Amino acid sequence: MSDNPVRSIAIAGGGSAAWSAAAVLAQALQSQDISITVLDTGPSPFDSPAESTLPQSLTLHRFLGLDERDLMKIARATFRLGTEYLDWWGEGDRYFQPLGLHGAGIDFIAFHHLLIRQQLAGEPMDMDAYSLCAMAAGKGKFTHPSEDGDSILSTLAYGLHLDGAWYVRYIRGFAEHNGTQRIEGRIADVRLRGEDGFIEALLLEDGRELAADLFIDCTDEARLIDGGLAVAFEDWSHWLPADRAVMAYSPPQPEPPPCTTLRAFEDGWLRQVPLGDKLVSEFLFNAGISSAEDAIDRVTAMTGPQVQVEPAARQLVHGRRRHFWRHNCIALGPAAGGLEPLPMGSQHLAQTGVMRLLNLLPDRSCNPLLAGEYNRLTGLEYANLRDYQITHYQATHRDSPFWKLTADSELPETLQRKLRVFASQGQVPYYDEETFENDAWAAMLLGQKRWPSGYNRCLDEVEQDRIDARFEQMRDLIRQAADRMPPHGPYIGDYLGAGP
Amino acid sequence: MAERLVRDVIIVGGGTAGWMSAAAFAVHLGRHNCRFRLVESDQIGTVGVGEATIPVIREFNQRLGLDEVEFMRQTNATFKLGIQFENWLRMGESYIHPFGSYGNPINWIAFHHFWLKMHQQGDPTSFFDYSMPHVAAELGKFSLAHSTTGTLNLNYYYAFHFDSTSYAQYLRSFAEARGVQRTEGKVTEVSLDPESGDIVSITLESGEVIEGDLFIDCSGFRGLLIEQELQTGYEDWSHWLPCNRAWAVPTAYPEENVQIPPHTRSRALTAGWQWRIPLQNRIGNGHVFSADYIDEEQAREMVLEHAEGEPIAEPRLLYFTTGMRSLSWNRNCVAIGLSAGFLEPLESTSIYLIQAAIMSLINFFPRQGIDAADRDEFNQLLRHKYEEARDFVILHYKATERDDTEFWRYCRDMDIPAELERRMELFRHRGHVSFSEYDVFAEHSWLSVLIGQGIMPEHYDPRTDSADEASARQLLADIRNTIKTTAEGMPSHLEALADYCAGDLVTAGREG
Repeated sequence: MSDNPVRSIAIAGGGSAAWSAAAVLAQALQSQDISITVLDTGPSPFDSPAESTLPQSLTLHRFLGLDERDLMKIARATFRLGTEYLDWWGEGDRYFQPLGLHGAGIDFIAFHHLLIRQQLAGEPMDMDAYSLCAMAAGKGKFTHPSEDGDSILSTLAYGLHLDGAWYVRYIRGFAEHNGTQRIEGRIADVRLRGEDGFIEALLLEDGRELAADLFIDCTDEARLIDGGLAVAFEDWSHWLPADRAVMAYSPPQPEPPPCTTLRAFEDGWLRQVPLGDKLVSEFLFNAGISSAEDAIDRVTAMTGPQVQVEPAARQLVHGRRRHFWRHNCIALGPAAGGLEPLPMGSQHLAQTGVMRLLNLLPDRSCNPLLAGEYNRLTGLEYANLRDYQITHYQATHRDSPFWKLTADSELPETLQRKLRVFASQGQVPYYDEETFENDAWAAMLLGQKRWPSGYNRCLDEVEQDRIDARFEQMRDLIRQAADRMPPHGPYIGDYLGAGP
Repeated sequence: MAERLVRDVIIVGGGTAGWMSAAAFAVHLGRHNCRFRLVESDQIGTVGVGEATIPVIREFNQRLGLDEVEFMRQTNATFKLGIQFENWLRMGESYIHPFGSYGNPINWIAFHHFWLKMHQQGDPTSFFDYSMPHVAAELGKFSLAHSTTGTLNLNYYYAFHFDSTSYAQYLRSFAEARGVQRTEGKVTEVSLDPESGDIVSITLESGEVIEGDLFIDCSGFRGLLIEQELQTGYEDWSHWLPCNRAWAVPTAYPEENVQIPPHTRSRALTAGWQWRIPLQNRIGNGHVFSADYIDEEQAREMVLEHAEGEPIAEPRLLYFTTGMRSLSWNRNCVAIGLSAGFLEPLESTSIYLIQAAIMSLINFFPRQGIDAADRDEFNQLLRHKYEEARDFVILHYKATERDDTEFWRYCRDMDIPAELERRMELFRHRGHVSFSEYDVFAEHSWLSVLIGQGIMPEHYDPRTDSADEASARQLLADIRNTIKTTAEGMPSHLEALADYCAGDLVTAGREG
């Protein structure tokens, strides 16, 4: 036993970040004498109403020991194999970014080099044909990936579409069941310890105090990390233009696609997430260019007559806290920063953050070395994701004010370097703490029509016959497998109907 | 540079760097893309000492399509499960840095935290008992079969000790068979393009002028092209790694009772260290030392004193300055091998750094002219690897508790690079190993040396306190016992060699 262990953790916030943190910490620290208390300040307007998760979320659920069927029933979930981009880089444009990979390399050469070569030769390849996720999604099919490495079904990867509010309730239930205390209240002030500036307690409006050894700030206004500890915020809105979202619900589609759809318009873009009991549509726009009324008109037009629109637009925050972890306070969720839901919602960064915190869990002294490492890794993660999102806006040929808003901002050096190298011969530099692997980056950049001027020369050594045969076989296998897969909707019905 | 197709590639210098480059380029780019030509002089000796490697060498060989058995025969290779460090922490103590991980994660928590906790509570078992390759290496055992039993992963990696001169020759045949043209000769002149500053051609002693689009400098420490001609610059790391000489001498195995340990040995001496690299037919020995602390003659006596067996040749003295070229790739010249930098062979990094440069260059191989973005990326990659490998080597010196000579006191007290300091501090505080995707050495390697060099964390991961102590203890005991039993059941290294790949194996043909 450490001689100065953390005995109490206070989590301020009531949304997805707060309850994810509680659930994860409760699971990891069970059977220890550590109190975990959530000061529930109410649902967070920064939470996406519907989540589109990455395969990484499945790992978190496994860590918590959640039953996928239970989760899906409660969170009205559907599956997702990727993200469909419509009209983003020009009218009539369609691109599908799968969660699994495209194709397979040949002789240690990554698949996308072949795509580049064919494009440069004037014989473009259909990227979707080489991705089982893409083909299946295009046909509205789904099945779970296979564990058998020899099966084409092992190339599938998936995430979940989740009802945000129901998911939070579910995770909260888990956390409370595992010993998390919940109190309701609003923060009046943050009291610091004189000698070292650590947070000593939260003072609530009703006069109560919440003291703890470690604080997790998941509040919307960053009451602890900013209000208490004065950690500055780095704004990234000059790179990411969508700062508001209007939400609408409509009846569920009869054949829900196993993917998130993002459709671009002149004044913003529409994000559609199919859930078990409804279709969630969010229109993202910029408050300086469009009004909430404009946005409501837009989303109503897209979703049809039986639509229920939330009257208020929610705000998005773009940027990062200069230090995510300071003293004995770690910011997660909106207090830590935010990005656009491109494609995944706000949950992702909060969940990776708390999992990272587990590996660096301090004792009461909160040695700055641990915070330094956490901040370093989290900073890299945020920057890489930010860069990934910025490429979406920088690649467009649309020239309306919304799409031009960030066109003149100088790109971050990390992204400039990546794009420079990719433009040469299609290599993607390796960075640490990437959410998306190199192959996924390459696919996205090609999907945005950033065709490099060359490809890896080793490809020219491979006999054309071998390439042709191999890729024909790949296409056939993928097409056949997609054809055989069950349709998404019925699959969910069977899957949720089965099991104990 | 004029945007013409990069077609003629000239490799200056042979040896391991030159022929590894030639072989790999020939396989990946030699049929339809480029013409490769290697210029070497038989007059200029290549450094070629018995070399040790790290497991990724197997990937390099596999990429070339080399048959492992054939390769081991041709190069008199033995297996390597790790490096034994003797007298580095304190006199009389030793540990092996093995090629494999420790135990298994428990409840998503890295294994070593459980050991740390038990150790803090007085458990006497060594961390190294939880490493399959460590236990096998200590017992002199080796087996190619990797297995997983139940939930315990007994997998490990292996590398080789081999005769680098034979390896170079083996790769030379390979490369020449794939179209690489070898020219015997000494480079006397290098011509640059007056406008761009790129290398246009080299001239040999014979008068022959060889033009090229891309030049690979494998000329060794001299850096004929990258430094003597392009004056790229060298970053001197001697203040962190003061050794600057090495005496190398091969010795013979005894007539009877031959034992070939499946690991390299590094024994710390008074102002440096002695390597022992076992090949199939002889032993490579070397004394790496700092001439600022002991003189060459004294060091020569020491290499003989600490070498087992009869010398087969006179000891040879090598001079070096630890450091790296400011840019591995400058203009149209790529330095590979000693021309790119030098680190003492404490963790067998030389051949790896050659491999890393070759494979990175293949990834960024220029087509129409040289793209600065690719070149910069290459340089960044290589720099990270050189610096991380350097830091890993420095760790062995810095973390000593020896104070018996001025040399060791210097090492113990010296400033170290900030990144290394950060890694050590983080580990010292709570047993956390910080690492990067670019790193040469994986988390388990850093763990091995940090713990082997006595850096005991003050704290461990508090999540371990959630686990039931009795179960954890039992689990650790099970792991230890399984590893021990499995290792004891393996054949000896000598038997494994005889079965798999005997070249000029010393015991071949002998009775018993």
